[in-house]
Amino acid sequence: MVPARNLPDQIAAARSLAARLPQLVDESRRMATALRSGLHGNRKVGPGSDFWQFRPYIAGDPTGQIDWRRSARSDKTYIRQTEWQASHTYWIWPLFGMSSFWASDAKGPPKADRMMVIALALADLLLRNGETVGAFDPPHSRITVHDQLAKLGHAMLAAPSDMDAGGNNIHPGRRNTVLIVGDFLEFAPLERAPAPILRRLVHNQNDGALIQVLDPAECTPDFAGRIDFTNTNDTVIFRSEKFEDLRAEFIHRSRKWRGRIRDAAMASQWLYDQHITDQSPSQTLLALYQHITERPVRSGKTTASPPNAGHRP
Amino acid sequence: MIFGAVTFLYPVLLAGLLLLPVLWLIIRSAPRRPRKIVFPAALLLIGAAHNRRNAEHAPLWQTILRSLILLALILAAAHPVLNKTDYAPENGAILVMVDNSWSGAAHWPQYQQGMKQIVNQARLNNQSIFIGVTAPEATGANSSDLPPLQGPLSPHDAQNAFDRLQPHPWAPAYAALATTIADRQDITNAIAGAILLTNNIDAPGKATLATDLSAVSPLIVVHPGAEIHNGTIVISALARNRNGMTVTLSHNVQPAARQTTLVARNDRGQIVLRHPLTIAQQTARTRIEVPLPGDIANAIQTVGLSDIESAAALFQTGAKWQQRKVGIVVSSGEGPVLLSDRYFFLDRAISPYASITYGTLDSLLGQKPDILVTTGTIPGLGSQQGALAQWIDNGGMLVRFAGSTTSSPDDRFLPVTLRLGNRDFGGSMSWERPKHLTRFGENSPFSGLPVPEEITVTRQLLAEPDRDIVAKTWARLTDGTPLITSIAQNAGRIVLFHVTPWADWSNLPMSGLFVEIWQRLLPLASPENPSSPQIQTLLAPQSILDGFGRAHQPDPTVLPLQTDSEIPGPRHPPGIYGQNGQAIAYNLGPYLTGLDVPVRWPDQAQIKTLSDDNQVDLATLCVFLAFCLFLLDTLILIITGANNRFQGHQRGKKMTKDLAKADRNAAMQSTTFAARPTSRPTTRTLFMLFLVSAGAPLILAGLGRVPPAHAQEENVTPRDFQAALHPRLAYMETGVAAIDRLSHAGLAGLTDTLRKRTAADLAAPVMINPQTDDLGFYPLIYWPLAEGQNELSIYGREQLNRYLANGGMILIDTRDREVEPARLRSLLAGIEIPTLARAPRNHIIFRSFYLLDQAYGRFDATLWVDARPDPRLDGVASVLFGGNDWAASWVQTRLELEQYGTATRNPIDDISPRQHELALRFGVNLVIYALTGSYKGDQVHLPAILERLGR
Repeated sequence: MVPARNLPDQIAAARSLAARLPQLVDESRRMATALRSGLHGNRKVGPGSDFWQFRPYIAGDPTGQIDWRRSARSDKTYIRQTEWQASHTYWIWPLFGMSSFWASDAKGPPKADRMMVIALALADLLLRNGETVGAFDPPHSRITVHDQLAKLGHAMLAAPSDMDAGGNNIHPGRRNTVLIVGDFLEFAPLERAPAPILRRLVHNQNDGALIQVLDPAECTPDFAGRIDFTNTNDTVIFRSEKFEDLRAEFIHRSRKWRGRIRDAAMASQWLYDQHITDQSPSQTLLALYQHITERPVRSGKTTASPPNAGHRP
Repeated sequence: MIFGAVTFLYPVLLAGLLLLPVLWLIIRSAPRRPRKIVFPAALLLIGAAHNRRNAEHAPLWQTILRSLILLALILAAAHPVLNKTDYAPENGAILVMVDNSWSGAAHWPQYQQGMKQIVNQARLNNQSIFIGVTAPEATGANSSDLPPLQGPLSPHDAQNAFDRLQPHPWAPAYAALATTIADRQDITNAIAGAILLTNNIDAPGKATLATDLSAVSPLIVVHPGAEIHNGTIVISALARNRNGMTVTLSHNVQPAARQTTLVARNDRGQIVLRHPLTIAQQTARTRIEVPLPGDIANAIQTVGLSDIESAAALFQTGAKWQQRKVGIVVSSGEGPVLLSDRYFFLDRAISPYASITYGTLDSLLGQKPDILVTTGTIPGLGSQQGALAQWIDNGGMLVRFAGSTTSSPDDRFLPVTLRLGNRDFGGSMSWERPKHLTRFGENSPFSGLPVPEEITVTRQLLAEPDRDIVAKTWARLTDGTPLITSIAQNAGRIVLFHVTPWADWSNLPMSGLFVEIWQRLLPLASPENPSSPQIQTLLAPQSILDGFGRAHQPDPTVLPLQTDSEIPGPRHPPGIYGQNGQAIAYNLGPYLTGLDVPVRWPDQAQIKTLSDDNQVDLATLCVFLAFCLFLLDTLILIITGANNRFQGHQRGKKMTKDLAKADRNAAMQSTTFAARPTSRPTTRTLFMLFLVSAGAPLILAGLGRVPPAHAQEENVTPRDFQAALHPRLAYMETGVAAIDRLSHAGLAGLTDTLRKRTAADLAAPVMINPQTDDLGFYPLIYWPLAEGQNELSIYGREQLNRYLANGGMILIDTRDREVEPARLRSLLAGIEIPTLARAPRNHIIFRSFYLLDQAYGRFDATLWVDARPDPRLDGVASVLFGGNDWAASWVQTRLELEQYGTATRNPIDDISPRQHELALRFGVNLVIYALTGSYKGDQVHLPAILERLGR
């Protein structure tokens, strides 16, 4: 079921992931298109450069907005409104740690694939809405055109792979949205919690979401017998004499671990969602997209709408 | 302890079976090696409590298998024996008497088997054993006696004592044995039974011994079975006749006709004759005539029987055996000699033992006889003096008699100086009586021959009484005058009879003594071995036979032989005594008589037959069984272990394949490719299974290393297949993971650059291992040298050398700018690196694509190439060598490089973009050079060529 030994050293795996990027971009685009057809765009008046509509002049409107050419064609006076283009910046941060390239089933996709798909699909959706999407690679590259998804994907691969250790090097701007996709296995030990780094991000009045991508075996493992568990570096991390005895304990601990991540997210009023690789990513994507787009218009005041903590069975 | 037919010799050790349940538990609690599973989320489990009681047990089959191994070993220790034979009562000491005289040799394996069975029984019943033997042995200075009885011995010591027993080629001394036993009252009191291992043939004292013993204790006589091949056969005589030889066999009365083969060997042990013969039933004596040419008969040294190994069935021939050629010199004018009475007695005395030719001196010398006999003055000597002297010097024997003429012979071929005239006794003109012969002296070869009283001598040639006359005299008359004198002359000898060979001077030629004298004389003229001048009467042993009829060097207990009239004994075992012409074959056979008389055993004695080999030792069987089970256990472990190994192998393959596939996608190539054989893991495992079952011991020797290598060699792997379809760069597996990754990344970057800038469209680089992979598919191999890298095996070096010899190219990178020769030598030991020289500025490698002046890498140190490239390879260098750490400089993005920087301990973030570009250019040049060889070099000269063509 599970290979006894695999050597996905991160570099090779990341390279392999990067090589597959075009595929994943396609997949993400497909998914984004499917989602977008069922969603409404948020077209509204606002600051921007694109023409939106002409509106009859009402007293009190700034006279500088009057479109004289249009007004000259009729008796009324029109003002020219542009589309609201206060482009919001979304930072998408998939955590391609060593453990993310692992899959319990040799035929199934590793978690990293799914993380990349979710991240790129989301980026595609956002870009088509005119938003700016960035990645936390060292130059903090941002793109605004959805043609550059592949470039964004490479930038994501270059981002720090550990939320705990790399969190200090990232600098999202104020009130930007940060989407973190990962397995958060670095927070598995009890003494490490995602709360400090989240607090630092929230400090900038950033909104955000944590998407935990998990392998089925990480929720309900079905090993049996005498096993040496190793990490992807081939170092033994745990020896089990009889895994059947430990299975209940593992499921319990796994639930607690996910609970801790969720609690940390909710404490910062961020969205937490969980995705398991044997399911389709579109549900997660839909929930995430709705959460992002339906958030109240940021006008300085923070509404107290509860975050949509998607908790799927 | 006896269970049915199976007997345990050490039943105490069966107590070990009580340990089995404990061992069962121990084996059961020793589980299999844990499986290794990659599961990063196991971090969650750290600190979880172990439940030791529920630890996994070894699988049931394994426990049973291993317990069976132990069971078999315990049983083997208890030494089970199937069909044990009983000879003696089950308690009390046993006296075992073994007939180790000549008759035991032929049946010695059976005797040994019987002794072993007796010991086994004693071991089982815990009896002690007394041992007596029948053959006397040499004791003291020159006497011989029976060895004392041994015992009481424990069964183990008894087995050792029995192992030391050897049959001796002489007669048994039953009477002495009876006396010895009678002297040891303690033994006769202690024993509960006596066993006599002997055959059925009567010998002096045998029946008496049996009767005496059966009076004091139950007597069991064990003798070989009455099968046809168990009969005793002895060669009792071997004689030559005119046609060849006569062999006389004596044997016990045969119940049925028996076939055997007479085998004769020469002095080097080669068989010169095989003569099948049949011994008729109900006979005790067989006489066989074997017709043989004389020279073959002369070559025979021993005559034996092919299926009997015994000194009694081996007859040696001595110096007497070989027939001499005797030439009798007659004068040319003499008439038909056979009509003459002068040589009548001579002819009758010699002709049974030698071939006689008559002729003149020169014709006889031409025939090279062994002995020449002349009477009186040698006729025809005048011209042949030199030839005769040379013939004597070369080992000829000249025997002279007095002639009929009154004058004495007077020439140089005489042992003594003769007086003129001759002496006359008892004639009508003399008062003296005819003289008699005295006894032969010690220095005479005739010593020991009886001298009959009736021999008289009436006339003789008189010798001058010289100083050494006594030493030269072999026979003398009662008044002391010599009758036969002799002198050695170099290798030859001259003998003078002072009488005529006919009966007018003496009646010696008419007597039987004359024949005996000739029998002693003839062997002295030995053609191969020139006779020694000294005539010895005590014949020193030259080689002696043991009981089986094998020749040995005599040991000091063997005394020289004086007379061969007694049966061989410990002091005179059969063999060859005396040297050269005097060599006597002392054979056992002639003295053995009465083979046809069976012994009369007393009525109380039980007669048992040696049962041959139906006693089966089950201990070896048990050990073998344990070994087989152990093999099986190991085999299963290997197979399961191999499965694990192969899963990992598959995984690694899959990764590489993914990469290759991704690259293809990226290059927008069509994805139609050879369908991947999906059943490969199964076939591989089956192949493994076959391999393991075919060569289980081999696998055991090399546990695990061998199978994967073999699996890779035997069939073309899909990897080779793909490498053959699509060229790609390769790098050597160093075993240092960081270096390998760096090499991969560097070559990948180079491949990428090549695809962008040149027509070289290479597939993703692969890691190769010369131990397991076929190198022939790769145009260029990058070999970074690293501390702690894998040692190359001999096979790997061989592969590399073959790759280089066949036009492959290797870039060796020491990665440290300068080159340390000692380290290099150790790393590259065994690889045929050609002489290297600095690459000149105009080397093709700096011209093949870009124009460069250095082998740029992370450094720009010198590049070394073949000093004298093989013209067979079109002058293309096969080894490039440098230390510029090219792989690091080829890595595509700065980011990746930084990650390797920490991994490889090299501060490699110092590569400027310019340097990176130059390194890539060198890389492009390198690959183009590897792919095109000298083609680009020719292109450099294109303008000149065009000009010369007349453009």
